[in-house]
Amino acid sequence: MGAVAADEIESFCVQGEDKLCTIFSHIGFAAKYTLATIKMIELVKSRHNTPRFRHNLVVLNQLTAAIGVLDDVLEALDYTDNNSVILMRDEETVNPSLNLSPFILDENALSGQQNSKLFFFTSREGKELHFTLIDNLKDTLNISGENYPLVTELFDGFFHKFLS
Amino acid sequence: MTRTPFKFLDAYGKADTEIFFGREEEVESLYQMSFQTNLLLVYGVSGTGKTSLVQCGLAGKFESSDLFDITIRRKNNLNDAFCDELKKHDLEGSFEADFTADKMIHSLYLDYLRPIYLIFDQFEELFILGSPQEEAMFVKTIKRLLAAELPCKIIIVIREEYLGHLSTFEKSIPQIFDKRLRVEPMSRANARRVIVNTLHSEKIKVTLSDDQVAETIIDKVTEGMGRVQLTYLQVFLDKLYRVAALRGGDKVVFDNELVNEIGRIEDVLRDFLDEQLDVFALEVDTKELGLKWLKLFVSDKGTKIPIKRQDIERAMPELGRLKHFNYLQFFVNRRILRPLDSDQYELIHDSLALKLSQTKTAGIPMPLNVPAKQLPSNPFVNFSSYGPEMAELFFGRDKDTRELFDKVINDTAVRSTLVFGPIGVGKTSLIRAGLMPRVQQLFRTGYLALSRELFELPVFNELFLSPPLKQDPPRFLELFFGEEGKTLSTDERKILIIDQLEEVFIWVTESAQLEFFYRHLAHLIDGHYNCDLVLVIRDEFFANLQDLESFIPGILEEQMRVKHLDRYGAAEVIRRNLHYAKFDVEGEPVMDRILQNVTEGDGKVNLTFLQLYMYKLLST
Repeated sequence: MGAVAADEIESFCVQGEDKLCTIFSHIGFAAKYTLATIKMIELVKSRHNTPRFRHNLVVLNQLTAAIGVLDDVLEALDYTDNNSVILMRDEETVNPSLNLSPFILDENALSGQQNSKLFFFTSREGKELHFTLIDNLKDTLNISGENYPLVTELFDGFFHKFLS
Repeated sequence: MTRTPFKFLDAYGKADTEIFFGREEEVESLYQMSFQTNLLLVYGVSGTGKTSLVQCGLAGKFESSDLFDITIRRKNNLNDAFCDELKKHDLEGSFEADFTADKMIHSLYLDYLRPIYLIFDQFEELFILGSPQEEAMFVKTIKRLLAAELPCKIIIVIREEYLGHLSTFEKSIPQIFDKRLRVEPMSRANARRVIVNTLHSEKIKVTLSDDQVAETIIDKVTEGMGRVQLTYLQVFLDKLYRVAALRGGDKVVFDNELVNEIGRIEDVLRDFLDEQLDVFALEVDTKELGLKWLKLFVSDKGTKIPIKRQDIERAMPELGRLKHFNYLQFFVNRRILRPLDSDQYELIHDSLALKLSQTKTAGIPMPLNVPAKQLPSNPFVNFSSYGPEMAELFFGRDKDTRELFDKVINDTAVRSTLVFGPIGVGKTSLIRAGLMPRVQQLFRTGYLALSRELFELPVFNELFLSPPLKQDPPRFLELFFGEEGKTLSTDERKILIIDQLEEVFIWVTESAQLEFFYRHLAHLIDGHYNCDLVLVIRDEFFANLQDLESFIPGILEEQMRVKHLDRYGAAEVIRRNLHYAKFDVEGEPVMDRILQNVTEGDGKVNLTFLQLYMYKLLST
C-alpha cells in the first residue's frame, strides 16, 4: 500500500469514521455486554446456608485486550462453565451469559495462570485446531488433544451436536 | 582506532533485533510470562545480558504499535527518576501538577493508546545507594500501580545477588517472585550460533574461513572450560575485528591463524583494561586515580581479591561516597569488575590483577623540601637522634625516606606500616627527620615514643592499658587530632606514629594490659577513622608481634626493615654534614680512618658511634 499524503490524512480519517459508524450501528449493542474469562469455579457451602459459586474471573473490558488486567472473584447463586470466555449482561451475575468457548478461549484459564491470554479459533486441520492471539493477530496456538484436551472435547461436542 | 560493528559493552536495543542471537529460548519464556503477570522479574549475574534480553529480545517480539516501553534507572532517587522519566514522555503536556505516577501512566496511555511497559533497569542501585524511605515510597507506588488495573506492565531487572533484598517488597507485593526469569551464562552451542550469526549479519559482514573458527574462538574465550562469558566474547570479537581490519583487503576475514595471533583471552583482557582506563580518564576521573582505586582489588601476590563495597570506601575515604559509587558503576558497567554475593566486587580475571600489580601508580608525591629551621652549628647529634628541627641535616637516607613515605602514604590497601631494624640503625631519625617533616606538610601527624616513664603516667594507663570502651573514636586519637568542640573528622587523613614499640613488651608484663593495648590499636584500624598507623620496633622484638597480629591481622603485611648504612652512605653523611659545618675531609685515607673508627667488628657502620665520634671531633 502506498504512502498517504499529508493533505489526504484528514479525508481518510473522515472516511474511516463513516465506515466505523456503519459497522457500529450494527454491532454497537455489544458494548452493553462485558467480556470475561471464567477460570475455576468453587463451591462455597456451609451448613444452613444456600450454596454459592465463587467464580475466579478476569473482566476484559479494556481496549488493550488483557494488558494490565487483574484476576477477580465473583460470588453468585448461579454458575456458568469452568475455563470459559463469556459475555455477561451484568458484571454482578453470570446469569444470563453467553459462553463463547471453545471458539474464543483463554489459554491462561486452561493453564491455571493469572491474567488473560485470549485466542480465537481460525481453522481445523485433521485433529489439530488452530487459534490466533487476539492481541496481535500473529501468535498462534495449536491444540491437538495432547495439550488442553478440554478444548478438543468441547469441539467434538459441537461436531456431534450440529454435524452428526 | 578502528570502530567495530559489535555492541561491545553496550546493551542491545530495539534497533539491534537483527543481530541479537542465542537467547531465543529465554526471549520466548519472557514473552510468554508477560501474558501471565503484570510484574516480571529478570535476574542473573552481571554481564549475562539481562538488559539486552528485555530491551532487544522482548521488545522485538512486539509490534511497535503494541509496545510503549519506558526504561527507568535510579540516578539520585528512584521515585524522582521514575516521575521524571514519565514526564519526559508527556509530549502532549497532558500531565497536571498534582498527578501521581498512576495518573501519569493513565494519561500517557490515553495519549498514545499503547500498552506501557515500565522497565526498571539495574534495580540493585536502589539497595546500594537508596534509603529505606526511598524504598518504602517506591513499594507504595508499585503497589498502587498494580492495583489500579492500568494497561501497564512492570519489569524489574536486577543482579541476582540483590534478589534477596526484594523480600522486603514481598510483604506489600506478594506476587513479586511469582514470574521471574533467571538469565544464565550462555551455553557453547548458543555461543557458536551467536558468533556465526552475528558475524554473518548484514550489519557486520565478517567472513569465517571455516567452521572450526567459531569453535576456536569459544575455546579461547572459555579457556577450554565452562559456559561462555558474553563480555569476554564481545571483547574478543571486537579485538579480532580490529586486527583483521588492519590486514586490509576487501573483506574482513576471521581465520584460525588470526584467532591464534590474538593470543589468550587474558592478553586481550589486559589490553581491554588499558582501553577502559583511557575511557575512565575521559569520562570519570584521572587515570591515575582509576588505577589506584582498581589496585584495591589486587592482593599482595598480584591475584584478584573480592572486596566489600564498604571496605572499598574505607580504604580510600578521601574520595567520598559519590566518587566511589561512580567509579564502581563505571568499572562494573565496563565489565572490569564483577559483582559477587554480599555486596562484594572483584576483577573479572586474574590477568587484570597481575597487570594492575605490575603497574606503578605515582600516588601522592613526597615533598622534596623540608621546612627551614634554625640549625645548630654542629650538624651531628651526639647520643640523640635527628628530629624534625634538624631534618635539613639528615643525610644518607633519601631512598629509605622515599620508600617509607610510599608505604605509609601511597600503599593504602593496609592502613598500618611496620618499621623495624636493629638497635642503633637510625629508625627514630628516619621517622622524625625523614618521614615526619614531609608527611606533616600534607597530613596531620601524631608521634608517640613509648618509654618506661610514659607507662607510669596514669593518663597513659587510662588511654592505652585499660579496657577499651566502646567509644567512637578512641580517646587517644582525640588527644592527638581532636579539636575542642569538634567531632573527629574521618574525611581528614591522619598519621599516627608509635615509636619504640618494644618498650611495651619490656615494661607491660600483665597479659591483660597487653591485650588492652592491642585492642586499642585494633580499634584504631577497625574503626576506620582514616588514620594510618606506623609502628616502629627493634628487630629482636619482632616475634612479639605475633600476638598483636591476632588482633590486627594485616599488621605484618606492609613492612620496611631499616638496614645499616653502608660505607658509602656513612661517608655521604659525614661529608655533607662537614660541608655544612664548613669543614672538609682531606683525602680518602682520612675518611677511611673515620669510618674505621665507627665500624663494628662485623663490618657494619654503627650510626650511634658515628654521630658520637663526629660530634666530639667537631666540638674539639
